[in-house]
Amino acid sequence: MTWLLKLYPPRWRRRYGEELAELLATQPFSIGVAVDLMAGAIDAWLHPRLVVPATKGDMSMIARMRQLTCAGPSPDVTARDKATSVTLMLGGTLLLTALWLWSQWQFGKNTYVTALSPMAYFFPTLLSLRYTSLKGRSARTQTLFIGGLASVLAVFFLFVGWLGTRI
Amino acid sequence: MARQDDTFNLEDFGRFSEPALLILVSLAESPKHGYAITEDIAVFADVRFGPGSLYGAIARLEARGLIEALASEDRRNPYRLTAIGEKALRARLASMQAVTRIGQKRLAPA
Repeated sequence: MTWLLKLYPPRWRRRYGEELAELLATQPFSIGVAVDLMAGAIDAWLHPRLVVPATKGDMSMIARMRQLTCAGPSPDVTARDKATSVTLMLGGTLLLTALWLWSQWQFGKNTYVTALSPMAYFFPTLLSLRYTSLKGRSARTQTLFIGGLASVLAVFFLFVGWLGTRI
Repeated sequence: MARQDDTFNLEDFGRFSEPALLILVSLAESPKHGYAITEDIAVFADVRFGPGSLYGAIARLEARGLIEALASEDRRNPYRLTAIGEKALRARLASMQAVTRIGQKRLAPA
């Protein structure tokens, strides 16, 4: 079951990987543990700043002082970032919903376009993470996370639309 | 009820607030590594957290400075309660005790 640890961010694995592997070695495989690990991996990706160095004894005074300002989940998210994130989420949802309604009116009802309607909410919401949970991550990580999740969701909704045509 | 200092507040740990509290209680006895914490919690609280939940809570407690890792020669890092962690635990237990007292008083037959 230790292969599931590969789902965690590299920094997290470096800090807690061996301990987690040791703990996993004491437990039999179960769906519950696998789901718990997957949820933990998602949480670790969403809160990258939770990882601190292994022992305080190894840290310089400067590193300790930096940790004081960096402790806690996403501490560098300012009020402005939150406002930008909310604006992007609400504005994007309204804009995409309007676009979706317009396409329905312009081209008539289409099963696949209808199935994609939840993306009007999910896509701006994922984009808004750039200013909160994903703030400070590299552009590549942000693109992979947002683009990857948006793609998975779009495929899922299209699959639901396809199922709708079969039933 | 007055809002506690954020450092001492475990509520904003979300789904990790319960494991975080039980980890603090476990470490109040002595420093322990992940497996020993899991076993101890299973004994005194009859709850067994998954490894993902356990380390999600440990990471939060460590980032907040409520617990700290001790140097270890093997792969298992023991953790111990810090002074701030002890204060946070005392504050949380006092708050729970007050709620318990009021609840029991209200449930008592008139």
